[in-house]
Amino acid sequence: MASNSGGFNDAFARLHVSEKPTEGRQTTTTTISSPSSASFRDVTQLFRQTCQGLDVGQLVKDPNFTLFEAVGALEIMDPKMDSGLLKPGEDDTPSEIYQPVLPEEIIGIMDQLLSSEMSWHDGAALSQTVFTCLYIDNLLSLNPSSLEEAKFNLPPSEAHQPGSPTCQLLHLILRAYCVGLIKCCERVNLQILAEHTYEEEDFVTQTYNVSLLDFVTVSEINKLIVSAIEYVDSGAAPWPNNIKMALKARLAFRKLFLTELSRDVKEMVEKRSNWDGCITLLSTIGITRNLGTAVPSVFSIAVQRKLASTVPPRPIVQIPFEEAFTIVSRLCKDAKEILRVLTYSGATNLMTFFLRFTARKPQPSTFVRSLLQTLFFSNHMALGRMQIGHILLEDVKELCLPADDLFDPRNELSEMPSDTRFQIHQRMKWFVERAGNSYITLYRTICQNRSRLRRNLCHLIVDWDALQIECEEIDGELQQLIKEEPVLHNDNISYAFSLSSWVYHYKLRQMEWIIFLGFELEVYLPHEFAGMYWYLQYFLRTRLQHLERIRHFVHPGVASDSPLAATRSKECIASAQDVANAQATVNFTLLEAAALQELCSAMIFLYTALARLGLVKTPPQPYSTDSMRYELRMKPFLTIGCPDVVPFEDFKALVDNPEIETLEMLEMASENTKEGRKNFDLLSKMSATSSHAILCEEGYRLNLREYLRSCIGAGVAIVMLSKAIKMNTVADVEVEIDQGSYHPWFPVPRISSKKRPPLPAIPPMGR
Amino acid sequence: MDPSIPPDALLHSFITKTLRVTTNDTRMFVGELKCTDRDSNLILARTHEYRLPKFNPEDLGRKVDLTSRYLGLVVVMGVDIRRIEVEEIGGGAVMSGSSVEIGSDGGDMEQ
Repeated sequence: MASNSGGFNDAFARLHVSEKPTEGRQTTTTTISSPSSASFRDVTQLFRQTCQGLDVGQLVKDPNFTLFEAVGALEIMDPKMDSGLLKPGEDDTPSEIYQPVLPEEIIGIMDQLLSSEMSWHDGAALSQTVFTCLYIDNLLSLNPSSLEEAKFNLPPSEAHQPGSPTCQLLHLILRAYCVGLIKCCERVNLQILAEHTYEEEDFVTQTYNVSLLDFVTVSEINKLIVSAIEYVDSGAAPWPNNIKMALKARLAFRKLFLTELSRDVKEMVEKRSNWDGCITLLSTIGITRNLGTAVPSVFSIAVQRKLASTVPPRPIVQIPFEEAFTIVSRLCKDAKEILRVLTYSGATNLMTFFLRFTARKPQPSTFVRSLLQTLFFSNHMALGRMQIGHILLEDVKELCLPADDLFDPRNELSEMPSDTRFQIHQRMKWFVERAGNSYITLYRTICQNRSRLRRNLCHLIVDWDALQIECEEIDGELQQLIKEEPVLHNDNISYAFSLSSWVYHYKLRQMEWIIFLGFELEVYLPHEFAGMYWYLQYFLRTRLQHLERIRHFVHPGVASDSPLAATRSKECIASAQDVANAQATVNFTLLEAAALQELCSAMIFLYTALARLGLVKTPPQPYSTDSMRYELRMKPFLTIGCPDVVPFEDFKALVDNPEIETLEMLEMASENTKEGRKNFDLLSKMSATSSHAILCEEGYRLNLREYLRSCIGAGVAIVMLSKAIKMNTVADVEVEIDQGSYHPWFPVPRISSKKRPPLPAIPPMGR
Repeated sequence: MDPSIPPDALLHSFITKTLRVTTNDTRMFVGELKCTDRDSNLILARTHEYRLPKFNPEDLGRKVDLTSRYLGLVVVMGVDIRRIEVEEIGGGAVMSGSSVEIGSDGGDMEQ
């Protein structure tokens, strides 16, 4: 058999295929397929000839291997798939890294690195960002296991004589900055991996088996950075003061940023965080930004050739400095802001904070949302020092104020299974465990990206629905144990059902969020708006009735005739203040729900009117029908016991209201916007305390203002439309739905008269 | 090649064996053969890429480790392949009975 010999083959023959790569970044322990005892036999000719004996299309394959798996294979030699492919004429030898001599260049590289780092925070992979920097690559490619080893391995250069300022620029200042940055990436990666986030969706945690200085401690790195700062400060550094200031600010920021990223929850609870320091240094970095000179040549996509990656190559991502600066500034501010949750001030306040903080546009970074999850619950502790059951029960009490006896600490002391107290305690313990899990999941889910939040809520409501049924049973048992007095409500004798009432209320809110998020994420088409607002209005009305019921049972003297009254411990008795608080919470929640319901009703009428006038058109649906689309939209709610999904025919009639005249409909819409506005005005006048927004007053008020804006915008649209109908100029009206300038949950149609195209002064002839 | 052995049976003996495939751009891919066809297109699982350094290893006078990286599942087109080698464990031939001449450069662990 003729082997295709040549210098090339001989070269390979002399090379030793390493069994366990010792050099570079291959720290994988994957079985390298060539144990040292094995040898390879050339079968090129045999293989090729035998293959040609196969029929066209015939495959010889491992029976356990499916072609479906093959879809995920990387195609070697395909430039789009093969990150190791060399372009024609491209050389494989790493070109010499440019060694900067000017401090301005160092500042430039530092700022480029910050851009890369923030591009990573913003969702690109390390292989597209930080790792494309040749200095980072150079530092990590020898797989340093200690700080001493983490240094640049550069060929000697005339301009960089050891000890010279140029040498220090590179081998002390830039090195310290790079080491700090790599460690920052490691801390961020650890944080994000510790919590639930969606890989590749929000963030890429893949490090391609490159160790991000895992074994080097933060304090060692801080020391290195400090020595770099000291050098810049010293007389040995012959640079002007503004350059020194720029270098120092960047190094100091890196040190402080790393310190903040390395804090654990305990330190944060002890209020040792200093994000303000980072923010101050960032402003200096912003001011001295123009001193830097960019050095684009120290970033190269060729680094991807060396990374262990099972995915195709991806282009370099490096956002402009201004954008990176905005991201890092926001990250520091947000990270500071979430520390507010550690000042626990009631469960409802906590929930408001989570809702408002994560609804912010643009959404807080993945890192911050992950940190928020850790602050909320980690190591079996909520907010770093509390039991989750405590927050859960406070949430229940703040809204429903269940009977005092359920919370008596004496219950826990009873060990007699026949004792009422023991039995109450067993049931409450069950509730804390069962509902506690759902409760934690809800908070964590709110920290996900908006699309995931909507999707996951669709799953959560199924759990909350089951929880509601289970709690109803427990409520029934508890009401017998404490001999609860029934109360007359709506001509029915009824019991409080406090726990299941609380669960039902949360479930309804989540169902509303699913549809509201559908608007925010632009899931629905304009012709569906009326129907989806009808559903919101339906959920809100159900919740209002439910809140009325809760209000009925929140009053002083609950369970005063309990058999346990005589032995009740004092601390569990709800004070007048507790009762007043719960009543205030219910009233506030009623007002908020009523305001939303009015606005939703206005939107139903407005969008129905627009559809009737042909101003919102149903696009052609060649493969779909309205009822199929309805079924799809209702899918998350089909399994929910209460409230029911309305059959399509009824739904259509309820939304379209064919018996109401269009003008009359608009008048009703106008009434709704006025009512809604009144309610939102009332809400705006309430204090942060009574709105349960003391942790996020600013965000809460902004949200209210956006609701109001949508209310006013809808009001204007209604007036314009009524006028057009009355003046018979509907044909000249143009409608554009504005998603941007109003509340994301209430896009408003902007109504204008069609601009007649002006006659061109010079006819476009002869061109 | 023994004409009495049907081609698919012979090729089946290579399936799940470790192959070392050299492409026209001088890289080597070592992975487990999962699938092949008439054009010798290969699907290799758990593949590592080995890149030939530019310098001559003899100049260094010492053993040189090839830099490798893990790629996982890959497809190598037959037209891009310069050489196919099969790993032999304990010197046993893949197809006993088939007369395959072992290339003089088969022993590559000498250095």
